Amino acid sequence: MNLSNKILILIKHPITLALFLFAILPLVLPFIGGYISLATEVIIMSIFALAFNLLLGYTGLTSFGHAAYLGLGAYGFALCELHLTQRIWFVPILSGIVLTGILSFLVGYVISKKKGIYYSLLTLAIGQLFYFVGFRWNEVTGGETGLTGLVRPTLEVPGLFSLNLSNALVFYYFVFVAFLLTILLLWRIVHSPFGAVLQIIKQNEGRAKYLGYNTFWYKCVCFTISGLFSGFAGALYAMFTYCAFADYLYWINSGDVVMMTLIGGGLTSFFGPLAGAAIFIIARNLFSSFTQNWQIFMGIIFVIFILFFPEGLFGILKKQKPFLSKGIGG
Amino acid sequence: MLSHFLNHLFNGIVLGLLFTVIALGFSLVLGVMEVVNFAHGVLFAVGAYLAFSLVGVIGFWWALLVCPILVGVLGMFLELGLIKRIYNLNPLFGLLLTFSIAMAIEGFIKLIWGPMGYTIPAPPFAAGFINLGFMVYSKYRFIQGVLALVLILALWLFLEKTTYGAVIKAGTVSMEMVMALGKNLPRVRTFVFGIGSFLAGIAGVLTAPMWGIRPGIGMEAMMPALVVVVVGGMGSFYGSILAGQLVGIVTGITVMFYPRLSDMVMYMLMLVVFLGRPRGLMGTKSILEE
Amino acid sequence: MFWERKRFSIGVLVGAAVLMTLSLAGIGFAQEPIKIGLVGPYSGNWSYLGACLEQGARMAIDPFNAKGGIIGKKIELVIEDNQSNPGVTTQKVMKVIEKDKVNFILVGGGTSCSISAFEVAKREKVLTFSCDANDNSLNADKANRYTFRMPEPNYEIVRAIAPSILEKYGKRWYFHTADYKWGWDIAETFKAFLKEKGGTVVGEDLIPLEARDFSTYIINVKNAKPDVLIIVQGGMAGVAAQTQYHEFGLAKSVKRIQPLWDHDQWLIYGYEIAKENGLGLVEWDINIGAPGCKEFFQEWKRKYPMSFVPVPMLDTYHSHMATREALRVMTELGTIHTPDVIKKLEGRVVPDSLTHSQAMIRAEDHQYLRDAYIFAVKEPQEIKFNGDWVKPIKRIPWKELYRPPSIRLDREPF
Repeated sequence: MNLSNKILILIKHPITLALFLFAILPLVLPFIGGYISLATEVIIMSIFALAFNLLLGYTGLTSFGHAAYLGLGAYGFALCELHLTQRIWFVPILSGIVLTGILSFLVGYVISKKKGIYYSLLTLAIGQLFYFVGFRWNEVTGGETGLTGLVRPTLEVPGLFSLNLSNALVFYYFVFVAFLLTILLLWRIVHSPFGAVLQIIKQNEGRAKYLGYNTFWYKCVCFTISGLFSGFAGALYAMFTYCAFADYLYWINSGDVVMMTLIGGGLTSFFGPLAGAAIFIIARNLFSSFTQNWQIFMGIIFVIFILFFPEGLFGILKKQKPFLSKGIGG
Repeated sequence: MLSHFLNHLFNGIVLGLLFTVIALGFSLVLGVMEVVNFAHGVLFAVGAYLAFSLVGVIGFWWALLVCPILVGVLGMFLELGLIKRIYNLNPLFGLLLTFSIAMAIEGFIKLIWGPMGYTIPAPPFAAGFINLGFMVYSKYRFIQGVLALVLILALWLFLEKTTYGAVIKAGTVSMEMVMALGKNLPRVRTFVFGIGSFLAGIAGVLTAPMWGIRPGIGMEAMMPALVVVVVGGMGSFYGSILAGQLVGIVTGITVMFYPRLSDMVMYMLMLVVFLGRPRGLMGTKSILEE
Repeated sequence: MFWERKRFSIGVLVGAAVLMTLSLAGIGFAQEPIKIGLVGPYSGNWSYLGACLEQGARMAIDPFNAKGGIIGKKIELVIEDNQSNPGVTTQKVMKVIEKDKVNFILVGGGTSCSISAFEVAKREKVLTFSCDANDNSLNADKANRYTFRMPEPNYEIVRAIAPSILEKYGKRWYFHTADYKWGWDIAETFKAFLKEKGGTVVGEDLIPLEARDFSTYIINVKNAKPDVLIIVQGGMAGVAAQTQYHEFGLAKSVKRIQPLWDHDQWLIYGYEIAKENGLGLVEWDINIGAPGCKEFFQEWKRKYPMSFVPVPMLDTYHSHMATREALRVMTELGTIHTPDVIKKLEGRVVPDSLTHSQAMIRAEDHQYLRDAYIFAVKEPQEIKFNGDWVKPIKRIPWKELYRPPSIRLDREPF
């Protein structure tokens, strides 16, 4: 295949469109009443939502305590900065990922024998436990006051360049690179043989077992991968807000990510969660600026989506534009 | 030391009875309609807020009757308008639908009553405390416990001794059979949701003088309900009673020794039970398992 | 595929280019108003405070706007609900800075929220006033050149009220302490004072935040039989605590005192229960009889006849003073440039501070210094209207009360 064909294929790829839209997001948002940091929140939550959808959309497992893994990533980042080092830019982020990875593996090991509603309720209980540990273990997590005083380490490659991340727009593009990595890695995962097995499990776990797959391990590994990326999002979030609070782990935030993923169309599309995260966060921000009763509007909108558009936004779009169905199921 | 311990134990028992009452409505809807009703908590809150508005007007006893009825009616409207549309889908949708409804209703609560908190004083006859010699206890709390017990008994009688109760009990096993026996299924479902909401409302009225009234109490009440139902077994009446007591007493005792752990301990309990007996202490195979 | 068509791609590229140019060039609006950010609790544990803070701010802003604003610009208040939560506070403070480009910020919701806001203030270099936090660190290690703290620090609160408690009620104290930073801080200060004076700490219960059931702790107190129960609680937790103390008949055996006593809380649980308390530090109330109080009250009643609380609250006072002085300084200097405003606020004397001595904003630690007042609950016949339940029984001039500052913020660079 010659070069121009390769470039054409690259441009046609839906990931390119997604990346392009996210690249211009911080520049566009201020025109609709948003601001750059809102875009940063959207992109970090998009990473989280993609990680979450690995479980929900691809494996059919609903985790109701997933905010805990975002929060753990934030705590990992914060604790590293406060007790180990603030200087080398990737170390705190790595700490967040590692902490969350280890804990999510343990959780995955415990819960992966279950399925359906039992699985979900277990994740809720565990999520709440993590929340309370964070909220009450004042000595380590700062309890209600949280861990504050964090910094954004300078992004430096010795001898090459050094970039200060305190500017909102610069930080956004730093997170954009993280987003790029996430989207590429997750895309590869779901389009691999591993990903194919996950989808069989979603369809019918019994059949997957019958075909000889050890579904327990697949579910466990899937949960861990989801946890790793959630932790990544969490570490970035702590870096973004300069602090880590137990509040990040609260179960209502878990409900939010389920909502985002669903209304975006995560059940049938790889990109659904991105749309969902963007809509959810931007809508909530705009509504709460205009009215104190934004909860009523958000609640009603969700009710409408669940009743009439359960396939989510991308589900609707797919019916119109088949090219968007480069996601689940082929 | 003994009276100290007895006090905590007593507290735990009353707390447990209240948890049971909160959980029963949730359990009923879950068992009969296979819907994880996340709006249960907010209906509890509506009950408490209605009590706040009406206690001054019609007195405590009337409020105890009228407010839950209003909540029950609200519940039936929700079922007829919204919830009936998601019955045969993945349980996830029911959960998310009710979660969204809860969000909207909590917003309405803030709109109507404001975002601040309120209190209701204990009814005059129940104010003050009882001195039992070895123990001093709040009169209202004692009465709460008694009322909770009466309510549980009343519900038990309804389920065991009336025809409608029998239909509902049959429904927790198999809705198709109930339909085959000629009962009007949609009407049964609406009614059951109404009862579930009524129970949520009455729990709200009962606990309001003790726990205070804030918009957030709805979501807060969901958690004990969930834990009790999971620990006791989904759809099991006796399970809810047993689990309620277990959670209540364990929480009460933990407060005595290690207050910081007191709110976590119910989730630890849930985890332990779940891993050992996933169907709960007294649960049977639930339709939700498939 | 539609996006392969040339027109589509060109359209998108042109659109993106236009947007980027516009955003980089910046669209200027003529005569942008001066914005003040109010990040306070409109829900959560302190849900009634947000409105109180708003009242005070607006009462300060309106006279300036009536005269045409400052340097020709009108003043606007931008309000965000921080849900009494420090995490949300950080987000909302960042939002009002980035999106609304506020000139200065008023923050409420307690110690943790102020700590969070102060950090953002330092990073973003925005003037910020804490209107309701008492933690000692807020005019010490957690303060920075951009932050000012209006309420009294815990140390001075204890110094003001503890001697009276000791004298009136006795030396054996039991503590019910809210289990987080604010609670520990103030409890430790009380305990240190008590030990100094030869008293005894009979016991302490650390009550988890958001606990609503106080029965266990009440049982503990009854068993310990102290002279006084010091209640270190606030917001709705304080309300729940007081209600339950009353329920369990605690008043029969133990005098209880909630050192930091807010009007709004009494109004929620009522006079009967309030009466069971001993002294309290209300920090400020229109009853203190200082010059200007009556007029302030009249003005407040005129503006807010339907207010949930029938008297202006202490938080209203704090946000009012902060806003008023900041705006006055800007008017006097003819500029809204933050470093200049801060320098003028440092060491500023406030003659009409609605207290007996003139108040002052201390340069070294940016602490608002004013007299402390101790209150007792009125007898029924002394009450003139609902909510008028306390009377001042002692005044401590600030010059006698405040210890020297522990930092030199005025020497920090901008």
